[in-house]
Amino acid sequence: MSDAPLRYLSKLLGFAVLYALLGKAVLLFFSTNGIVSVVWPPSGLALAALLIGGQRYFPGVFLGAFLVNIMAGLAPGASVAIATGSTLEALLGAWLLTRRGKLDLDLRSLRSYLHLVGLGGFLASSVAALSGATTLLVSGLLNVGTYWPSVLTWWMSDTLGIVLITPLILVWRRIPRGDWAPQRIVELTLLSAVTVMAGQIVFLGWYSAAFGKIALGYWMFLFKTWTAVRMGIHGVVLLVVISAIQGLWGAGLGVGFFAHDIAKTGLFNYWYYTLVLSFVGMALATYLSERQQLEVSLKDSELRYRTVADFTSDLEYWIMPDGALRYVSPSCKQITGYTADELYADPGLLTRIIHPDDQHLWAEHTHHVTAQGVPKAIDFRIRTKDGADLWISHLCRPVVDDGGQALGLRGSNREISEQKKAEAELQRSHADLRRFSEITAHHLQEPARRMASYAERLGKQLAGKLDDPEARLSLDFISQQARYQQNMLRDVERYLAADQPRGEIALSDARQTVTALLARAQDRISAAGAEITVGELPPAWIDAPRLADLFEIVLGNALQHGGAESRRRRDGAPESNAAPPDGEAAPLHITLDGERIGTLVRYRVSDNGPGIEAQYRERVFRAFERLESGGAGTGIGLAIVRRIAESCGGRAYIDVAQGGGCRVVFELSAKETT
Amino acid sequence: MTTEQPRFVILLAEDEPADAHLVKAALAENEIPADLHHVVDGREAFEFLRRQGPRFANAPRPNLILLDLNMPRMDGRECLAALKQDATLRDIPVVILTTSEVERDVVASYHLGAAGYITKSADMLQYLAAIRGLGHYWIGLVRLPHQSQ
Repeated sequence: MSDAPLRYLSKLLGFAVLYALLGKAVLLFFSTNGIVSVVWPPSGLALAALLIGGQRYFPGVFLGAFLVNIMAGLAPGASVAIATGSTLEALLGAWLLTRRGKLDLDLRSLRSYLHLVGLGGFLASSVAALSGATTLLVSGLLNVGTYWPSVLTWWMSDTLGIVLITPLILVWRRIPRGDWAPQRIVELTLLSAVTVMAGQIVFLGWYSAAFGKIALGYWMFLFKTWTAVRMGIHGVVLLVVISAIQGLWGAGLGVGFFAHDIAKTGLFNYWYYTLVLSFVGMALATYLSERQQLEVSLKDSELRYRTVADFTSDLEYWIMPDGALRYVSPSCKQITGYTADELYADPGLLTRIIHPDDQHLWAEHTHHVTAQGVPKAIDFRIRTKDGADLWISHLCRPVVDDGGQALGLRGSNREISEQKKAEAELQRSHADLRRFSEITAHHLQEPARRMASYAERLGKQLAGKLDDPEARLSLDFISQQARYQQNMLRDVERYLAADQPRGEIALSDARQTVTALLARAQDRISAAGAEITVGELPPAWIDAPRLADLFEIVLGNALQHGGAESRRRRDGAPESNAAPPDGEAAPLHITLDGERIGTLVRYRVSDNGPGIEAQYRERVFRAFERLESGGAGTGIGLAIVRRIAESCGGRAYIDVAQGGGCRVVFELSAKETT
Repeated sequence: MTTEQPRFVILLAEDEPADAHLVKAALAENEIPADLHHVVDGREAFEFLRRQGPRFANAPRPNLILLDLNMPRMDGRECLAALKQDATLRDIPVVILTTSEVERDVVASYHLGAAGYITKSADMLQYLAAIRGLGHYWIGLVRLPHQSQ
């Protein structure tokens, strides 16, 4: 047998004994004059036990209640009936309170206190009183004449028992947390002592000579209010119970505020008084506790947001529609030299520190934001308080509340002077390099051209006198190499300039470009015996000269490498597509077409040649990479194609054409790119 | 050209016809008794060495390979690395013959297992001397393993 059932059983029995003892004590002290009819604390104990331990402890309630009644001399039948009523009451109260989620057992909100008093107190007690008294009536232990008074007595005493005792147990289950500084302890002790003392004076007639005429019940409300404000829930529940005991005691002794209450009202007056006193104190205390929690969480949230905002390195601000500065981060001092207070006092500074030469940028930006309301970044210079110029990258967006109401602008400003410097440096060095490369390419052209000219001249001069084939070969190599160098230098220049437009960038008509190109290349096309098909060619967003370059390079490659000549040169390569036997190659067929794909235009130049093996398709885009030896190709063409395409927002790559040939694809932007 | 003694066979991998011709001319002018075979890139070199395709069906096994570094498709570096990976070919000495004077290329070539590294000189006399030296060393001086075929 495991421990758990044993532990449950012992707790159950322990609780039953506790209940019986409390009941016995109440009866012992207050049994005279019908006091018991006005408050029955064990009912409060029972509800607290079931709320804390769970409803499975109900047999403890039953056993305890049965014992109390047996000890009080009631018959077993009546005792069972009353005990059943008490058990039902506690079970019903606990069920009502936990039916919709858990009750906050610490009663830290007004709502949970009201639930406890309403459902666990008034409602559960009335059901229990009705059912208990009815059982007694049916079993003949009550007669019709005493039925209603019994129901009322049961209901009143149990309700007050629950109102006083259940909160006391629930709240004091935990030791109050918080501030235990010496002066606070002094205050708490003093307040408790004064309240108890006031209770003695009001309820037990102490110093009646001095206070007899003026020691009235309303005194206690002052102390309960004070307690609620200064001591919270823990203080109120405890001092309310003490006052209630003092009141009863005084009534029993026939002294103080309730001296004649037994005779006059049968303690009805006491019952209402205690209920209201408890309610006022507890309602106030729980309400304040709720406010306090709210305040703590608000403070925490305020701290969180303030920390996030204040500890930024950028200059963050929020400007209201009327131009007032709602927030500016303290980092404004490091960036602009002006403190947050200076900017709060004069929000216009934020605009005035912008460099005079950049004011128009700011005006344009402001216009853009107010007209379109979209976040847009700009860079501008500011002049700091000590006169230095700094670069700022500014980004802002409109602030809108939950209801869609415009609440101004939220701006972020990052200091980017270093980046700007580096950027300018980089641009200058790029420009330098480009100029140098262009000049170099040009200067290198000159000797190559002269070499070609003189080789040709020498060939002519020696014509007929030159018998040695080796000498003729050398001369041919010189001419050929000079031409090769010229081609190479031309392509290097084109490569370097590939990312720069050579005319106005506009929507260029690709069909027109291709038609002109085909006319120019007529000789080469016939020489290659090629057949050309032109399909759909949508326009692209590029300058016309570079669009012509693109098609010229790719068409040139197809003419050079797609044909039978190239196939023979590369016949060693194992091609998967069934190439016709040597010498009977199908005529070269080249197709140029294109299509719109979203914001891009994709152009394709496909041939029915041997194609390019997958492993080389990327490699051929590198400068100077060639797949064939000799020949006039420089190995730069496709690198130029890629550079142009990428500078126009597109890309270039190679895939396989239908039938295994090579297909060069280049994509360009179809629309204006900003 | 059948002789009693098998002739020394050199395989030259060089994509530029003008350069290939210079090697041929330099061997001839130095009267180096060698048969020169010419392929245009690394891929073709392997086809030659493995006797692939009708062109190379009867290709002899070379005693020495001269390799250019910059070639299309398979360049000299890739070719050298692949040769040294191949158990049947790795015993053929490979000498790099290139325009590149970049130290990194020299180091990488020896690292990959090159037997020598010769920079092509623009000075014709120096060039001839280099090829002459190459011939004397590999054909006259060094003993190479007998060919198994």
